[in-house]
Amino acid sequence: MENIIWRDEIIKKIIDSWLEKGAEYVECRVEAREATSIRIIDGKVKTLSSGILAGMGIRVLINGQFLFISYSADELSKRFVEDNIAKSYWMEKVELAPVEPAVAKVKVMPKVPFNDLSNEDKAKLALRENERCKGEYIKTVSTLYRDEILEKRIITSEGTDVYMQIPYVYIGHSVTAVVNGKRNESRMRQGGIGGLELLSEEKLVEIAEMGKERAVKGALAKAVKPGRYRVLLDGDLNHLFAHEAVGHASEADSVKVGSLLKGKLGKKIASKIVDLVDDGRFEINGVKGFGWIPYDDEGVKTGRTLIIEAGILRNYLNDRATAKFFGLKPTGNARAQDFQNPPVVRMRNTFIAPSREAQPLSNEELLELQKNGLLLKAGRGGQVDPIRGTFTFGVQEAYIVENGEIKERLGSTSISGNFLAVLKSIVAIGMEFDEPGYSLGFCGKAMQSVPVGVSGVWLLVENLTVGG
Amino acid sequence: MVRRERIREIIEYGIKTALDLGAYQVEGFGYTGKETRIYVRKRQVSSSVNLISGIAFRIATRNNVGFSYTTSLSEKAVKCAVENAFSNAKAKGEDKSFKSLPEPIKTAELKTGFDEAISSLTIKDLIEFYEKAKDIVERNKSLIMVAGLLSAAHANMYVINSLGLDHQEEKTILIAYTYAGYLKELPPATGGWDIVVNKLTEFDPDFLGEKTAEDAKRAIGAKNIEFSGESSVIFEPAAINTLFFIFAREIAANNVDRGATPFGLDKINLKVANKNLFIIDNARYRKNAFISSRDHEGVPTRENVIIDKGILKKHLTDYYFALKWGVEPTGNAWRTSGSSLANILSNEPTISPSFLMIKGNEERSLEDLISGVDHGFLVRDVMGVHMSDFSSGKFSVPVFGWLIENGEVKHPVRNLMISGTMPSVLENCIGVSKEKEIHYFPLPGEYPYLLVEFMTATASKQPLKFRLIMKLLNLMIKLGLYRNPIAY
Repeated sequence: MENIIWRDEIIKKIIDSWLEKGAEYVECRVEAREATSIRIIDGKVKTLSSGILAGMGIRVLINGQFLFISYSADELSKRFVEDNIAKSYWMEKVELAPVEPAVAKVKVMPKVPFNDLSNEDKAKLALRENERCKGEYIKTVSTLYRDEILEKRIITSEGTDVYMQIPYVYIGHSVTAVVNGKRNESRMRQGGIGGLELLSEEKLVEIAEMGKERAVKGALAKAVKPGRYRVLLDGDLNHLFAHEAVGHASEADSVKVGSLLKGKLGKKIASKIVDLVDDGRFEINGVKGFGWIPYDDEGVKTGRTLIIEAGILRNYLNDRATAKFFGLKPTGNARAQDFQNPPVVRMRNTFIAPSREAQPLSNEELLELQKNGLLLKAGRGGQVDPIRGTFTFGVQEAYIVENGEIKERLGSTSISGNFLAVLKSIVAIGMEFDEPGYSLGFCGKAMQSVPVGVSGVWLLVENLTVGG
Repeated sequence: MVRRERIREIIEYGIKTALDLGAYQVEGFGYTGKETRIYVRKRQVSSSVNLISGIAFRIATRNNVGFSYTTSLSEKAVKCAVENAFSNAKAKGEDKSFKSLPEPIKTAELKTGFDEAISSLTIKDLIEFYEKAKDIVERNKSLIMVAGLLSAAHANMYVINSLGLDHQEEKTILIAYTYAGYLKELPPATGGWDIVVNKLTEFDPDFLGEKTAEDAKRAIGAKNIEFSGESSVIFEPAAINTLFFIFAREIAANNVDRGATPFGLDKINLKVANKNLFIIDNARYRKNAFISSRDHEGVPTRENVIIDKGILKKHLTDYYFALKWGVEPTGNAWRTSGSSLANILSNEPTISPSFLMIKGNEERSLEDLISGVDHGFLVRDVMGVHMSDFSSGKFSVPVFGWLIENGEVKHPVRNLMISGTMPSVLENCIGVSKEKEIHYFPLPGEYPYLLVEFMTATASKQPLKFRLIMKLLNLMIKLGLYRNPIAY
């Protein structure tokens, strides 16, 4: 790919011109996204699109304030509007935690590159998978194939120069079943970071079968009786729970605003068996989490951040500005949706893991321990209000558990609660990490959407509110 | 921004190139836009200026349509986009339902709201507006402005096709949203307000501040209660705006055509809602800040009555489904951008409402609606609607609301969940208010309060230990021994 169009001398000139205007720090993010997207509806190719979105985002720290300007290729202008540098008495002065300038080039090489298949062949692949989801009671199937190569270069006035090339690919289905007039929709994805090798026949058959079964059984199922339950969450829901219930509230920009985790560093906020992890470089069995980023959008190297350790809040997720504010180290969590948005503090691959205090159990042992309650599997997005502490997430599969055995299937439902109340209610934790390839998510914050993962082990939680 | 003439020249070049390649029909969508935005969270201000231009092509063979886009306007990039769109059309195979890209259709062209005053707003101006609203909110020493977003956008859009359709539109929009919290309560009472205008003279930051403060104040004093069962619910206009995101998906022809909706073609001319209810979509409504003569395919917009006295009359279409079904196109094909202007180029037009209006044949005052409820809830905001099952309309969502008892609003309620289905909301909607509010996100429209019976509601108390800790912290806040996390 040769989609990054601006030459070094242009970037250098931009940085120098802002430094001459008095900027304390300049960051140029040059980006190109080349994507192919195919939508199949019930055996027909409905859309087939491809293209490149490319441009540059410049973030300047001047007079203690960040100003962000983005340009597509033909808009790069030397005009400088003084009125766009603003400062007022109530605005906080931004300072950055120091980092060692990073110079790196990271290319994730797909084993099977996207261009090994023509768009016609990709459409055939998507058609085949759409067809695979058909079956008795299946009313309609919508399938989305998407591949994207993200090329990004981050250059700062401090000497950071990081180039990344990351390929994303997935196939997702929305399968609607109608049984005796009752409708139910199931959604699932498979793919990740890499090439077409992630869409192996075996995996694709698995999600198609899962999609059909989930849709039909959900349509046949009775509704969950709303109320409080002892609940066993699968790996996908572990991730959603960790992400929605705690992850957002631990993002340091939200903490500054007034998340309920403010002032709680070093304090016990969860059951002692809980570690909460956000990992920028998460990999398991050679599979990268969907939120894998080797460097964040400030050019800071990522790693594993332990937010909660054995129930104690140990860290917030930081960018350089929040790290300076809280006296912490940057954690590599500054992420932007694209070149048109400034980075904000975001999660990457987030999950609850057994702490050193935990005695992880097999899934079977967890069921035995639970004895009675609900087993909940497969998420369907979520949301949190970090200030009020209210979180929610959708659940596609619910089962009654009686005497440690999985019994009747119930319909899709949702969970809600206050995260400070439920974190201490995790009473047991599993040891079997669920397949991360299914847990491909997109997280929205500040109107920006970024890919996130990952999955996790099963969790036994007391007293969760389950909707109808 | 890139000169308008240049965008036109490039589209015309692309159309000619595609026809030379043997394309059957070609459409070029050109965009050049500028957005000035501040996103404020307490004292942290993120200021952005975005300048984006680009082109998207839909190119048809006799069998199908392919799509491609680019943010580079170089001849090479445009030629490449044209070739990709053409080859994508070929790769799709035959779609027997595809007949044509939109033919030019005459319509009364509206003035669509360009205001130089909005276009020339700077970051400094937006911060001044925010400050005014913030000052109003914080005149009450118990309130604090928690967050806000102000965005001033100016866009030029072109839809030109080889059938002679040639539409150009220049628009400006100012979006303002602020959110405040109450300092003397934990978790704090919060509230917000949004205003969207296409003329700067219609924007009053003081009014924004006043409404934000009012919304936060009325949420003070939430209590935990235990309730589980069927209940009457009055949804406020902002809650309807969010909840009807489900309905919007269910009346779009692409979902109707494949049967992924409870409001299918078989329901046309049948009763799907209370006979008092009207639901209309009208991009041309004079109060719609996004008022448009034509959609993003260049097809004229019109007033579309979707539900008329409870009877389903129409679904919303783009040109493709209008031809496929043999109906008049409703002019509802929109390209969406979200937070990134350039996404308007990479997203093909999809069917969505333009400006929804919910009315009642008989409308009552809000006071009257409330007085008729023995036990129920008044719901202000709804979370997590995107988690719903759109094919059945089933939802189960946490909400913020107030307990209603014996015809009176008592107090706000914590940990309240409401579940139901969109068909049941429409069928059991027994009251529509005279009072209406305009809200734009996620679904532009003018919404009343709706009284809906037989909703499933669940309100539950948090664990005792948690409630005791919260009580203690609230007492400490009152005594000045503990600071609310939003206070500093």
